[in-house]
Amino acid sequence: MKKLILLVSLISLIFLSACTKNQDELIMVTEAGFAPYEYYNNGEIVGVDIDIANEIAKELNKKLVVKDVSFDFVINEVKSGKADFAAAGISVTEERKKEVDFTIEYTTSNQVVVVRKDSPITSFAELGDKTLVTQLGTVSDLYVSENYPNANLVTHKKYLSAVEDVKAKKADALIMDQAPALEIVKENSELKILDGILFQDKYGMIVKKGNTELLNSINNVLERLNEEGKIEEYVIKHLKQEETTSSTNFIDNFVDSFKKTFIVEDRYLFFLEGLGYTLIISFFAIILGLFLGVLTSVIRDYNRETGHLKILSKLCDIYVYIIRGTPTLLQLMILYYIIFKSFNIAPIIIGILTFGINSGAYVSEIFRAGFEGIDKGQREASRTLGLNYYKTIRYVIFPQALAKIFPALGNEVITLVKETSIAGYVGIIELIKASDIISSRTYNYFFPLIVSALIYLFLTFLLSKIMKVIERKLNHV
Amino acid sequence: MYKVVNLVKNFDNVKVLKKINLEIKENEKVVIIGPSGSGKSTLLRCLNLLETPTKGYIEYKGVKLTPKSYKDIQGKIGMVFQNFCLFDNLSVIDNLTLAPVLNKIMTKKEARKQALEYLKQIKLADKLDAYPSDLSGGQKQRIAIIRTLMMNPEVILFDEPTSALDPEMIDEVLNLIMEVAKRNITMIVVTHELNFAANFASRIIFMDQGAILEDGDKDEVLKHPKTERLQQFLSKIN
Repeated sequence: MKKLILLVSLISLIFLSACTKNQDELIMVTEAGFAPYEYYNNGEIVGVDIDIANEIAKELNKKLVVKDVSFDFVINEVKSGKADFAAAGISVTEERKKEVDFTIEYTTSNQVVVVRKDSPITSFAELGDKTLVTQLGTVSDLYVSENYPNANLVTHKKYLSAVEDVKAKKADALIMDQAPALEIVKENSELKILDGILFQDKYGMIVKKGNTELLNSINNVLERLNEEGKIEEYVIKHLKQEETTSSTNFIDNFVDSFKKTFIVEDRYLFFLEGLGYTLIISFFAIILGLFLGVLTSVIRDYNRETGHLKILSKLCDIYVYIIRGTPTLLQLMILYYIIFKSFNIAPIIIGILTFGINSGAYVSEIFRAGFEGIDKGQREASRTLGLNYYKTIRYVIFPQALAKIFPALGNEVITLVKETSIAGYVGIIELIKASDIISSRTYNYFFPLIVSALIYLFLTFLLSKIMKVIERKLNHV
Repeated sequence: MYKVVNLVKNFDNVKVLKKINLEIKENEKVVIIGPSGSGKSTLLRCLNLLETPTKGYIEYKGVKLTPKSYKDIQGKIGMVFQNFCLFDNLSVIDNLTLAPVLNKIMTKKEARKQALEYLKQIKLADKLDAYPSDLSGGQKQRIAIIRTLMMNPEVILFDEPTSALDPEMIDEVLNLIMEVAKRNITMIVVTHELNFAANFASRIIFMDQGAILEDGDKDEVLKHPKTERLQQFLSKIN
């Protein structure tokens, strides 16, 4: 019991120390895969929006902190107060105005149409009955649904995967911002931009509804920068300067992709960082999951054997039922945006909690099956030898169950490691997020993904080897 | 030692024991016989609360057996199971020393010494570090018997100790039970081995359909059965 109290207080201490929101910081949220507005350069998030944000921070006498999350989460970050404001190439729409307050429009974006070079499409009029792809939650998404009601609209979480759709002839055209589109056609020789601008769009920054003080400060800075012509300067500064080769030779292409993915701007560091976070989250989540799983399965077993702890055992049942019945991504979002809404906890801790709590439910079921699979006589023999419930579980039932369920447990560990790949949604740079960041710079979607896949494969290979060794030990032969 | 009063045990709606009344004195060697489903195993399992009585009660040394009072005498009522029930995850020596050490009856050293002594007596000292899966049925059951002895029990309940054994292993187990009978321990054995019963028992109880039909001196019960059911039962077995 003392140990438990110690553990609980230790965990709360970690939380509290992570909770104190720093008043000197100005937190900006974005999705850093949208050059020239926000992108990674040498491991840092830079871009037009960041330059502007720095000016705002200077004005407010605060330190700027930039958070990188998935675009469809950006508005949520501001609404929930986890971030002070967002600048992510956010188009001003009526719908969004209901959710958050917009600053003045600070830049105009030209939306263009990207098609294959061999595409029969020559004008915007022909798009009406085609398959069109856009990025989810962007203004082009809204534009297509309003102006091309008969088109087959497919929305992607990332515009880079939308690019792959067009390349693979799964879609006819991609509608997106001109600046990144130029980079994409430079990088993909089989694509081109249709002549002309489909529509124009204004970007604004957003703050939490009612935060007029910050809104006014940002507006003042935006107005000043506009007058000084600084924003245009920033755009020119951030347009990509990286040299590109479009060779048709496979080996040249491979070497080029390899260089761009790993060596340029020391991008291999993203993979290392991703690997590091994947390992840290997995490690602590596995420990938390095992702890919760064993605890809840023993409580449920105790109830089954003795009839005591009825309510606690019911709660454990409900925990397992809810966790197993809902997607992990949803659990991550609920924990991040609802339960820990007003706490400024590092996302990595929320990641560990989510995957730990999630895994605990599965581990609990695995152990339940293990306990139930042990012959009843083992418990009876232990009881007639004067051993109480705890000693019976500790010395007789648990070791036998563990040996039996170990393969299933190993499976759960491997599943957990792979499942951490969704942690990128809340801004944790794990392996998949790392490959996303790199592909947002190289405009090559698959190469970094395959590198991540190989790292996962290596990790799980290593894990299953370790499991095998332990399994052999457990079976005492 | 034991006083069973109006003991009734139902499983769902099946009446397995119908108002059993029974007294067993200290150091008695009792054999319970009867056809399958007569309730003899259930009666035995009520004597250490592996089954909870539906009605009636059991007194052990004058104290009514309840889950709470059972805690104080844990380990004093040993049991030998049909399926041996050695702890599969532990070696022979750990099987023997686990309970006495955890219950603080002996130190680890004392328990090991005692266990070795018993193992020598049953000529299995070489199996010290073997696991149950490496042993024959007869070896397992003999180790299960000395495992109960390690707790210095006042009573040992035997639940068909030879039913799961190959015929050639039955004698080695029965001989050990005969050895144990020399000690000052109350023993209650459920078995189908009538020859063994004739040698071992001081008293034989015959059960049928959840009731005790005959109860008395072994010669009286085996040689002069009073009820027709027992006569039938004996003629079938022989």
